[in-house]
Amino acid sequence: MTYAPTSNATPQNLPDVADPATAAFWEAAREHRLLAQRCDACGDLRYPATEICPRCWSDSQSWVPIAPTGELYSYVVYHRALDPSMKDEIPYVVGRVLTDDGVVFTVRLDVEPDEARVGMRLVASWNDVTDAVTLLRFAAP
Amino acid sequence: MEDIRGKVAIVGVGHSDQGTFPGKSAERLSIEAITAALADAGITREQIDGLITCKSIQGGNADVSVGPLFGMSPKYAQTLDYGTCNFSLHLAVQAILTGLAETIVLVYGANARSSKVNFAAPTPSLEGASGFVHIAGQAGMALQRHKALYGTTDEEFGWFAVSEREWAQRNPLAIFRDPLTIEGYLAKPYLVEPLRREDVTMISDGGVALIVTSAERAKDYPNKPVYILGMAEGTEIIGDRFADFPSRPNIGGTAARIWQNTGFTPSDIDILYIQNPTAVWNLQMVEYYGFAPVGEGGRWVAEGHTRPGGDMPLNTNGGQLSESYMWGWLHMVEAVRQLRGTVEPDRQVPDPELALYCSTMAFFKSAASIIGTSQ
Ligand SMILES: [Zn+2]
Repeated sequence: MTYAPTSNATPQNLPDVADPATAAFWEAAREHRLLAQRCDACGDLRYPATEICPRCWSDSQSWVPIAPTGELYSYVVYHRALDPSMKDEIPYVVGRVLTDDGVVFTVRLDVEPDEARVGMRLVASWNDVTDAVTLLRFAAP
Repeated sequence: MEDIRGKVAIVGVGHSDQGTFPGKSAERLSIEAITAALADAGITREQIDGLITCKSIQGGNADVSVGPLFGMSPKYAQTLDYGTCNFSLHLAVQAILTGLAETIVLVYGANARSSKVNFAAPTPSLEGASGFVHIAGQAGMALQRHKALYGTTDEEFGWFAVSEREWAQRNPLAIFRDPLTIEGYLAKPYLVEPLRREDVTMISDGGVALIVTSAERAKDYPNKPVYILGMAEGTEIIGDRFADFPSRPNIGGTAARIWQNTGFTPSDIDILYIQNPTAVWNLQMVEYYGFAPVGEGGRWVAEGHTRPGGDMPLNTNGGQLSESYMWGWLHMVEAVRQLRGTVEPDRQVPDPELALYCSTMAFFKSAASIIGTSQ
């Protein structure tokens, strides 16, 4: 089976990168920098963003850089396009990535299906889908 | 917890046909199921003073939308989003023991198949844009992790789907009855690796209903009462904030509570039911509830315990993998009929007295009920 990392694929279901609640994340992504939301009161670090802190209920929070490295908690390989919009992308690998700062992301991996291993080290890679949208991915270092 | 043991009983069960029924609403299918459950209990709707409905995936089947077809306004009505029969049953027990109602019908209706609901529509989010869709995605994450940590193989895991199919072949109501061997399973392609199509439920239309009343009243009904002996619940409603979320640790708390509340142990259970949109639910729950040690669920099922003739019959209706989609509701119907001793002879487990039914609301909640033939 040939599997080309689909760095030029264009997902049809793009997030709203202009949403004020998350615009900073997407702006940094365009510059290939990884951010997470941090509670100004207690330091809780999270993605996706929440309106208030689930730990201390503060509504004061900032977007801060986090280490773009982590390990693969687990992964799946989509062999069927369960939604028709994915039909040109199969097979593709989605990983659950535990970053070194403890934030979990579930995103596409630029890793061949037979090279993915639970526990493998990963580093953020980036997929510039459009001028406005860059999607986070992870790849082997 | 207040001792609820033996105070409430299931006195009627019923369901509609299972399959594809274009033009029939979830509410209409609910009424078909209620009609069958009333007939089974030997009563009319006038003897019902409580209605608990379970919503369909599209949001229909609320009490206020079933009511106009039910044609009556019982003094108690309630709706749960994802009752899986367990949460709904627990609510009924509470309502009866507190006097809110005396005899309650619980019902689920769904027409998601004929309505062609897209269960894999991506959300406009980073995950959605990454193609992480359908419950098979997160369930597959849990299984892949299990395989890596414990060495679980496809051949071991496949026995959940294979043994459910063996039961389904003995169940005339089951939609999927073609033979499935472990070799046949392994020859099937992956859907969302490590899951195959056979590991994931297929959507179907239908309705299921149960009638529940106090143990005192239950003695006047024609069927042997099936008593609720214990119940427990747990949640992870905080959501996906920790790495181990796909393994659903909240189930472990529910399992500990059901054994503690009842004093029973897994070896007391004669028949086991696990609501299962995917076979990963079987794997997780046989471990959390203590039928197999943590990490050993795959090897345990491959030993044949859950198959017809095995020592821990599991989902004797064929489960959601082979019978139909009904969110676990038909699991409870089957448990009641097995305890009454009234299923087809080639499927009947010899003289079962205790059944455990385990279910979950996706990754967020879990519930368990133990039901039995004596108080
Ligand atoms: Zn905080």
